[in-house]
Amino acid sequence: MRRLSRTLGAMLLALGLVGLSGERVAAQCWQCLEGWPGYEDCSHMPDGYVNCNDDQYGTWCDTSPYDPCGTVMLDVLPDGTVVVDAQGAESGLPAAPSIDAEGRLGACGLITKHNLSVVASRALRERTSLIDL
Amino acid sequence: MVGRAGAARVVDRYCVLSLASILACSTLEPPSLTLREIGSHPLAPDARIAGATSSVPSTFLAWELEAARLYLVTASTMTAIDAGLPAPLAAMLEPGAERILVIGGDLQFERTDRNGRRLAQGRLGLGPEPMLLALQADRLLAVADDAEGSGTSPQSWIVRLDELPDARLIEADLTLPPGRRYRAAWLGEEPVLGTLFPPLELFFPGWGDGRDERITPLPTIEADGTERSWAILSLVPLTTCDRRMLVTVGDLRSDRRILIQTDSEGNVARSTILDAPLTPLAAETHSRLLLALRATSPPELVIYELEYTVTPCRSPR
Repeated sequence: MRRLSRTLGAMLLALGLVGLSGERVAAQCWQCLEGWPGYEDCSHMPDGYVNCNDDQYGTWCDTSPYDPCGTVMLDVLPDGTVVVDAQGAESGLPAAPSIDAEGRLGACGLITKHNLSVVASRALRERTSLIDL
Repeated sequence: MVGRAGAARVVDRYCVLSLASILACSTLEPPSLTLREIGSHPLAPDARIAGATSSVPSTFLAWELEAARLYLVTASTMTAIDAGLPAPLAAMLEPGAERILVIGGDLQFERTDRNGRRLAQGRLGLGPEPMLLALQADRLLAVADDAEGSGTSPQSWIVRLDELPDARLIEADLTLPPGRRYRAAWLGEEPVLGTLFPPLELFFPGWGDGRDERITPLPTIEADGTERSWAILSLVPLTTCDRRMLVTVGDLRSDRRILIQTDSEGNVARSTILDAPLTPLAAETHSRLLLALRATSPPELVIYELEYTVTPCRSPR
């Protein structure tokens, strides 16, 4: 069931990126996605970008501000969501997220959604009602 | 000091290593700033807050990334306003609190009343479309996009907005390193820019009485060497008369935040790790309130009361 959900999610994402190509979108995928060539070798560079050490797409990966999805990172929202210019879809590059059980993107991915339970949301409210800095 | 249930879990304090030197370590110091929640407002589950400002006492204005939706927020109320411009890049509740100014793509602007009724619209003629905008009272900072990494310093403009659409140029072309992306805010009459992605730095051009040009590197290397994807999530000025502010650096792969306080000169004064998806958005220093975004389900805009150990200056420019 989870595998089916992932597949469906990946298809929807790819369709979404194609449809929004060239526009500002909140990224559902960024860097080192499962199934991407060179995925096993991906590494985060000190500047925050990703090097996939991939012969085929290496030039995409190691030149900031491009990422392996071929997207251009435009902005980061206050909640940590990356805003991209979805140029990768124009190049026909796949964009397939892997989402773990906690709703987080795969090994090198980003947290883009917080689908917290009612209990977890309540706990977060309690933890952040008083903050000493 | 920290209550059992209602307290933030500040997991640990944070020592920063940079060039083999300890720049900051706040383990044993008392808090200089306390945020005490006094109100919260749930948003739609898919709401993507892009920014917020405060220019009148006790009231904040927040806006969404794609939807043409603004939120007027106080501790006890939140009013959604549908603006005409999609994807606002900046918005502001104008002095007097009766009018809202929104600037969107292609530098279009729209001025509405508090109910969203359009009063004026037009386009600012600054040249290429800037990607970064910061509004304050009567002035706008705009920085051109450098998405292609052209290697040239990004163009920038600072204009007064007295008689829209005739914006009066005050200053052009801040000296900024090329190939970087920025976030911006106003510290009184001086803008501050922070790089979005590492290396994380704050740029102060040195405007205002007695202020020097300064570049402040921000701490991002944890003592245990954990590898993270840091980005500056927000710049929140705490005063209008010097460089004290609260900078939120977030790990894009986790809920970790580093909340960094700068001193009056713009140096890093304190940094505290918060393992919670909470990002301060704007502060209103007259009323000592702070607006933050909390990633509960659904997300919430939260109002905090600010309690300073050190009293901020009270001489707004």
